Amino acid sequence: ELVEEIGGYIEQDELARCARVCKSWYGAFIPQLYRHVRYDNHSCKMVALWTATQKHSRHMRSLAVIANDFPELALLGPECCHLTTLSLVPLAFVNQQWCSWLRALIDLNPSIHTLYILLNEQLDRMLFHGEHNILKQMSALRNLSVLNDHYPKDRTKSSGVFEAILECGSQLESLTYEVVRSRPIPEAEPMEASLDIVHRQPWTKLVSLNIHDQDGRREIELLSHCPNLWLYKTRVDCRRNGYESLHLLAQNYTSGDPLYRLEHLEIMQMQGPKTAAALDELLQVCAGPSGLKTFYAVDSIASQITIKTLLTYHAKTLETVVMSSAPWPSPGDLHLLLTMCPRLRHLETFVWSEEPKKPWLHDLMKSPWICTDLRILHLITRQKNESPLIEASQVELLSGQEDVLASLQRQFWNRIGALKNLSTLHLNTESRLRIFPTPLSIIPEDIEQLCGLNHLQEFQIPPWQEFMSPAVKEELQLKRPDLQIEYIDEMQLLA
Amino acid sequence: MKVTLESSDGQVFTVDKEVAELSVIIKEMLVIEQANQDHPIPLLNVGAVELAKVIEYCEHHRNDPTIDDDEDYDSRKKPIEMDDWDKQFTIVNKEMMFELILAANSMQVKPLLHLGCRYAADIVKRMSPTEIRDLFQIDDDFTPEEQDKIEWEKQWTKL
Repeated sequence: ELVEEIGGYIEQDELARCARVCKSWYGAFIPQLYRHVRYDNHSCKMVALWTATQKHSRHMRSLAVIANDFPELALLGPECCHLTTLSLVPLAFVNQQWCSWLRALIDLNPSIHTLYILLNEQLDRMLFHGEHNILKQMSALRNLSVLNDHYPKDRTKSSGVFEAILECGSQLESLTYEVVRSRPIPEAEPMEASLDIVHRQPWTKLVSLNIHDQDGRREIELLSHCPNLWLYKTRVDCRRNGYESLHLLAQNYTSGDPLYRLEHLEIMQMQGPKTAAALDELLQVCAGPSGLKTFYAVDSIASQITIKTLLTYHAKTLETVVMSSAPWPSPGDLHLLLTMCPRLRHLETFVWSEEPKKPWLHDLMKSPWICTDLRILHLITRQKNESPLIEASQVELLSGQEDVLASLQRQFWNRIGALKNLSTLHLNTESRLRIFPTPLSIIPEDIEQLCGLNHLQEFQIPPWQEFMSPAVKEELQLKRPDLQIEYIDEMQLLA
Repeated sequence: MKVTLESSDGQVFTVDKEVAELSVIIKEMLVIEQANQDHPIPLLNVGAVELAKVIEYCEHHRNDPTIDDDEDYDSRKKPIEMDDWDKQFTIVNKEMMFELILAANSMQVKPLLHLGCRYAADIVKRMSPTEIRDLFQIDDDFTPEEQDKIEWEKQWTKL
C-alpha cells in the first residue's frame, strides 16, 4: 500500500524500473504504469509494448495515440473498459477499419469524459457526419477538444464535427474548437447576412470555451448558446475584428444568471477601436462578486480606458495579467497594476518609454507596489517607435542622466527583493539598441536582493556583459549555486 | 485540552488534543473512548524517537487546512508545496525517514505520509532495481522466466 503511495510521485519511465525490483513492487507499480498510456511514432512500432498493453489494458485510464502508423486499437482487447480520457492525433491516412475499431473502443468505455481529437477532412466525414456521429455514443463526455485540420471548401457546408458539437453541446462543461491551417475566407461577408442560428436550449453546463476559428460566424453561433461562461479564450485572425464576440458575451452576462461571471479572459490578435469599446463593455458587465482573475491579451491593442475599466472593476481579484503588445499598456498603466492589484501573481508585459528623456522606471517607482505575492514577472523592454535614426540622439540623452538612472535602478532592485515569493524573473529586451546602462542592469549591490529571493528558480536576462558583468555573475553563482541563469538568444533578439 | 500518548517502548508524551488529532487513528480513538481519557493512548507500532518526531511535525502543522483526501489520483503528481520548515524536517538519514513513513502510516498522519512518500520517491527514482533491493533489503523473487517476460518493461524507460 505504501509502495503504491510512493508510486504516485514517480514518473512513468522510473515506474517501469521500480516494477522490476520484486513481485510485490511489480504488483503495486504495474497498474500505475499503465494508467496513462501514450503511443507515438516511436512506441507504436514496438509490438512487444502492444502485447504488454493488451495484458494490462484493464488498468488504463487515459490513452493517447499520436502516430503516423495507426496501431490496431482492437489489440487493446475487451478488458480495456475503464478509460476516461482519449486523445487522438492521427497524422496520416486513417481507414474505415480503424474507425470501426475506434467505435468499438468507445462502446466498451462508456466512462470516457474527455476527448481530444485532431481531425482531417476524411476523419470528419467518417466519424462525425450525421448518423455516424461518434459523440452520440459518448454519454459521459464533458470535455471536448477538436482541432479541425480542414476547412470545408464549399463555405455553405458546415463541417460534420461542428454540427456534431452543436448537437451535444448541452452535455459539455468545456469545449475547445480550433480550425488550424484553414484556408483564407475569400472575402469578408457581412456577418448578419449569413447568420442563421437555430434556437437551442442554453448550454448551461458549459463554462469553458476556447475557440480559434477564422470564420467568426461559428464562434458567434457557439457563444450564443453559452450564457454561463467562466472561461473564454479566443484568437482572432486578421481578417475580422472579433469585437462581435465580445459584444455578444457582454450581452449574455447582462441577461444571464448572476452567479456565473467571467473569471478568465484570453484574447489574441484583437485590435481596433470597436474592440476597445466591446472590451470595455464586457469588463463592466462581467464585474460581480467574483470578478476577473485572468486577463490575457496578446497581440491585442485596446485603449488606456480599457486598463482603467479593468482596474476599476477587477483590481481586487486579478491574479494573472499578460499584455504583450506595445504600445499598450503605457508605463503609467503598469504602475497602476502594481499598486492596485493585491492578489497579482503573474505579470507579463512590455515596458517602454514615451519620452526618451524620462525613463519608464520613473513611472514604476512612483508609489509602493502592493502585489507582495507576485510569483512570475516578465518585463520586456523596448523603445517606442524604434528606428535606427533616433539611436544616436537617445544614447546621448540617456548618458546625460546616469545618476538618476542609477538611483532608479537601486529602487527597482529593492522592490524586486521585497517580492519574497518570486519564482520566475525574466528581464528581456526587444530593443535593438544596446543602450547602457540599461535601466535594469545588475551591479554588485543588487546581488543581495537577488540572493534573498529563496524561491527564485528561473532567471532570464539578455546576454550582454553590460547587463551583468562576469564578476557580478560569478558572485551571484557563488551565493546561489542552485539558480540557473538563462540568457536570451542574441541572434533572436536582433532578428 | 491535553491528550497523552504512549510509544511502543513505554514513553509517555503529552500533547494538545488538536495536535494529536492530525492523526486520523487518534482522532477516531478519542471519539470512541471519550469517557476513558485518563489512560494514555497506546501506539504499539511507534517507537519513542519516531513519535517525538511525528509530534514535532504535528505541532508545526497544527493550523494547516485539512486536505481533502478524496482528491483525484493525478493531483498527487503535482508538486506539493514544501515550506522551508518541511525541507529542514526531511534532512534526516534514510532509515529514520523510512521509520517515520511507517509511523505516519500506522498513525494515519496524512500530510506527513505524503511528505515521506515524496521523499522516498525522490530516492528510489534515481536508483536501479538492484540498488533499490539493496536499500530495502528486498529479495529478487522473479524466476528467470518471469525476468524474461518483464524484460519489455525496460523499453518503457527508453520512450
